[in-house]
Amino acid sequence: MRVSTPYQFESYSSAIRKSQAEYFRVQQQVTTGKKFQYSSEDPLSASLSMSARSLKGRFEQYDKNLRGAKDYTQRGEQSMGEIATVLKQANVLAIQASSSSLDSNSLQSLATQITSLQETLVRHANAQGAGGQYIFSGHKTDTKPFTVAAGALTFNGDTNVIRAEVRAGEQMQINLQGADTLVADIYTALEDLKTRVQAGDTINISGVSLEEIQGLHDQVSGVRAELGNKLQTIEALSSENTRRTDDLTKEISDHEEVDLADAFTRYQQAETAYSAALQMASRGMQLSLMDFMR
Amino acid sequence: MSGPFLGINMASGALRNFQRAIDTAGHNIANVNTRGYSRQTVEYGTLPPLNFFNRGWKSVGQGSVITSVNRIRDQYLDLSLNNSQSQHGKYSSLATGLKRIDAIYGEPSDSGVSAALDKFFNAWSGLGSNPSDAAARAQVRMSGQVLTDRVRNRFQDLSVLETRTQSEIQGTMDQINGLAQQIAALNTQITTAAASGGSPNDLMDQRDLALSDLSKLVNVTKENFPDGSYAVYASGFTLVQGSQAREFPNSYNATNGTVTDGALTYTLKGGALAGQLASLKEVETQKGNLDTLANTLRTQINTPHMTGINAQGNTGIQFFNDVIAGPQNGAIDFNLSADIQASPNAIAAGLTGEPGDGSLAAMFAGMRDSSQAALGNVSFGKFFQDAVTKVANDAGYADSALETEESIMAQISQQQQAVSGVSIDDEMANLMKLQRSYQAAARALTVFDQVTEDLIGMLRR
Repeated sequence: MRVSTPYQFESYSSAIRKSQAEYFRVQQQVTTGKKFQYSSEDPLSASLSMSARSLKGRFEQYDKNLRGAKDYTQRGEQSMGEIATVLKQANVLAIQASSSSLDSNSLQSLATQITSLQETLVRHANAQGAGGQYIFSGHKTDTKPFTVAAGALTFNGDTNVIRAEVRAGEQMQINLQGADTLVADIYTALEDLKTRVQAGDTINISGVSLEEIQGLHDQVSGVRAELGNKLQTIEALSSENTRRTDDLTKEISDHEEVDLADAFTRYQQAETAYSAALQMASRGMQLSLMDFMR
Repeated sequence: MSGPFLGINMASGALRNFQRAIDTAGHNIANVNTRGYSRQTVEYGTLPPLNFFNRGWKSVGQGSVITSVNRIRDQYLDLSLNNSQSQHGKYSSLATGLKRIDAIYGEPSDSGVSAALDKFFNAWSGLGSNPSDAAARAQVRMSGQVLTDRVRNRFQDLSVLETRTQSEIQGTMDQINGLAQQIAALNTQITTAAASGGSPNDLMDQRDLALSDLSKLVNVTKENFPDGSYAVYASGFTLVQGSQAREFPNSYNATNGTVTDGALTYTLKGGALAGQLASLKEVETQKGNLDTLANTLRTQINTPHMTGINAQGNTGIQFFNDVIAGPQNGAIDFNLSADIQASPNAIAAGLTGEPGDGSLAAMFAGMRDSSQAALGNVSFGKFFQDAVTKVANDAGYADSALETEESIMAQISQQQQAVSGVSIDDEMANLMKLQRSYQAAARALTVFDQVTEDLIGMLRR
């Protein structure tokens, strides 16, 4: 085939251009660590990576939601623990009061202690979460749920449920429902105990109050066990989230990032091709009939 | 009749002819880098012989004559190259246009619309899960602001790109008209030169070059006429006929990829113009997608949001800005409503307005996976991802088609160069040959001169 001079030079420079473009492309991959700059360079990877990123963002949000749920549940568990302590102390006081050998001064002192237990109960029943929200007042999180006026306990909250999204389409109840009646029952039981202590009604103290207090303590323990289970579920979900997030991070990196060992090999190849093209051009450009004519 | 000066005439004629051939070789070398130049060769012939009678009729040669100066060109290769250039021009401008859209979207990235959509719905999930948390509430407003900003900015960037593409289309049309006028003017010059018997090689090269340049902009066909002129048809539209160039139709339809001249519509099949129209169509489609996305978000979020009661105790509050009645504005002014912009407490997390009620927020969070009839029964995130993926795929396809067309074009151009291109080595060898021929002819002239001088000297004695 006839080779014209412009074509000869054009083919040298096009070979150089091509190998140079590949050389810089691979170089860029190595320096940025990214497979592509724009999604059009690898539409499939880009699209898979977009889905993975979206999913990862969601798991990170679930994780935040779980942290909120954990806070709610832990605080609930803590205050139920304190309430259980109140009941234990009430139990001790009731046993003391049931012995008939006490004088009225001692009984009065016991009654005062019971009043202070009631105050402690109300303080713990008005527990607040990390954000200052009252955790036992249903949806009315900015309202103090329990107030005492003239020795009577009032519940100001509601019994609505607060749910957190902890998995796709899965809602977990995070506040304690029915805390209002439980706290009210305990308050009333303590109030009854106080009345009986003041009256020196030892029969009913040992016959009714002690049983009531024991029963309520069992209820509180039940609630604590329930909250403990919930905490375990939260921990399990949380570690599953972490695992999924890690998997997705790896998946995104698989889609978007280059394998450096592979990229280095291709970089070597591209460099060889580029230098070969340069060498061939410099050799070919030197040859001319004019060098051989005198 | 043979005379003493026949030889001198013959030798000086040969000197003149070789001189012309050397000039042609020089012309070839001088134009080695001229675009569209075809190498030229000089063809020689013998002059009619001189008959004489010497025991019967005999003939003696009278020397050489230049019969023609030819342009070495393969018309078939021109045709193939022009077709290939049209396809190349189309995919090249399409790939450029689509990559610009791709670059505007900039996906996958944390700073894209896709990430903003995710964060928006995740923020609702956060608020739904912790309705009394002021930070979660602020997060919803911020992510909503980021989402509207990004949708709006992408839309503005696409609008700028739309204007830019439109002006590129106008520029291409101007170029087409300029080249058409050039071809028409060359037609006139070539016809005039051919009528007086000449062969205007360089003019013909220029005309072929103009046609070749034209084929990059629009798919062309040509028709040769006996007077040496061309008729040029661009996508079926008669662009040049003889010395007349017609204005290329200025009204176009990007959706159909057509231009319209009065009642006649021409479909563009190749050339940069076709690619630019297809790019413009894609820009308009993507603008439409963002409009749909913005309007659907408005409808789907605002309608339930307006039924809720916010932290300020108000109901009927829009989350995104929207018209009360009539057609929605789309992405161009997509933003949070003035109420939400004023305070995050304007957000209604629930239906009751109680600080712990996150039912609405939870419902919005669930909406990220629900398919939307207005988006063709896909979710918000999927709708946008699909749009991005389509552009990326189309750009990838245009790129690979471009690569194919590039190698076809290189092959044809190689063949054309093999035929028409100047080779310096060829020309140098040719020059050596001509130099030797010239030297020989000069030598012959000396001999004839000597003979003539001998004859004159003989007479003097």
